[in-house]
Amino acid sequence: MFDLNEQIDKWRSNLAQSQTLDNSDINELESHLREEIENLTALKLSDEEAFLIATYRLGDTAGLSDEYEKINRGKRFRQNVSWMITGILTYLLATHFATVISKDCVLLAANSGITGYRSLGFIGFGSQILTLITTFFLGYFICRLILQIPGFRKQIKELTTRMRLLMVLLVFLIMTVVYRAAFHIPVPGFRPMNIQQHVVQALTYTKFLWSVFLPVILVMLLINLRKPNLHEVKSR
Amino acid sequence: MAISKDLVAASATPLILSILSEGENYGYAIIKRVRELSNGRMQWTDGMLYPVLHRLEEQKLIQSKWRESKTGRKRKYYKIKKEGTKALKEQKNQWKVVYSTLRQLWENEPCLT
Repeated sequence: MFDLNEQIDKWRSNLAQSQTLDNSDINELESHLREEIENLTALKLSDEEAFLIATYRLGDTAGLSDEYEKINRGKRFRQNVSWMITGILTYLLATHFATVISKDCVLLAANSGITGYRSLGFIGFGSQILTLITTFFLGYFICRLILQIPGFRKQIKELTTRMRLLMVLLVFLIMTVVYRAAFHIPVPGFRPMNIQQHVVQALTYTKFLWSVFLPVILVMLLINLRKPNLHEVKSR
Repeated sequence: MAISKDLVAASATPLILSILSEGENYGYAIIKRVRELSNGRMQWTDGMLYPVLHRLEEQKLIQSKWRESKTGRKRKYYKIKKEGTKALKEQKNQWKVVYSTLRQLWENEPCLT
């Protein structure tokens, strides 16, 4: 017995194997195929006959994947680069958290007057938890606030899960950039007296610029790379 | 008489843009419309339309959106953008030049019958 859905699934996995078509492309072709089959069966063709004719009209898998390859090559490159940048940004976030936590430990230990490794460990642990909780709650509330803006709400609803995760990452990143920049703000009006102070000031400025502009540049790159895909909505 | 492959490929962009300039539409209906207008003489391999549509989208001449039709089928609808209307105008002018050049040549052709 001919099972149409099974055959269509097989046809789908054949197309997916070529790897030049993404899920959205295949969904679009399937929608076309089903419509054609429906029209053909209305002409009193059997499911099997209709399926054969419809797939023939749509073109063979090799030809289709060749055509899509031409279009998707640039798109795939952009996707790969944007994932790389996302990776770098995530790394920046992770190192930032590690630095913040160790800095907090040292600060707390220095000001508390308690000595001994055990107490130091407890303090470090406590401050680690606190930093994580405050950051995540703040990030969460900022995300909720963004959702409250009516225009954004509608747009975000249409995004894919991937894009949503990316947006959350961006919110945390912006928070981190502000936080990091606050650590590296050069003291205004400070006049270096000797060579060491000159070096220190130069270092402070570089660190400040680096900590602010590197994430900003990366985020701008990411947004530019992602732009053409913004309208892409998952169909299933 | 079927139209040659090269000619079909060359005319794909102006055809798609013209059909979309009448209103938003989806792949299957676009192919059907071309078939009707040409009395079945312009044969596209159906699947080849979509890469062309995606290229036009990449060039920001059209935009697409997944939407459910009244019958409950999910379809990707395409809509022409301002840039697309501009490109269509340019394409029209180019095709008019080709057409008028050929016509002048063929009008002077001696009649064989």
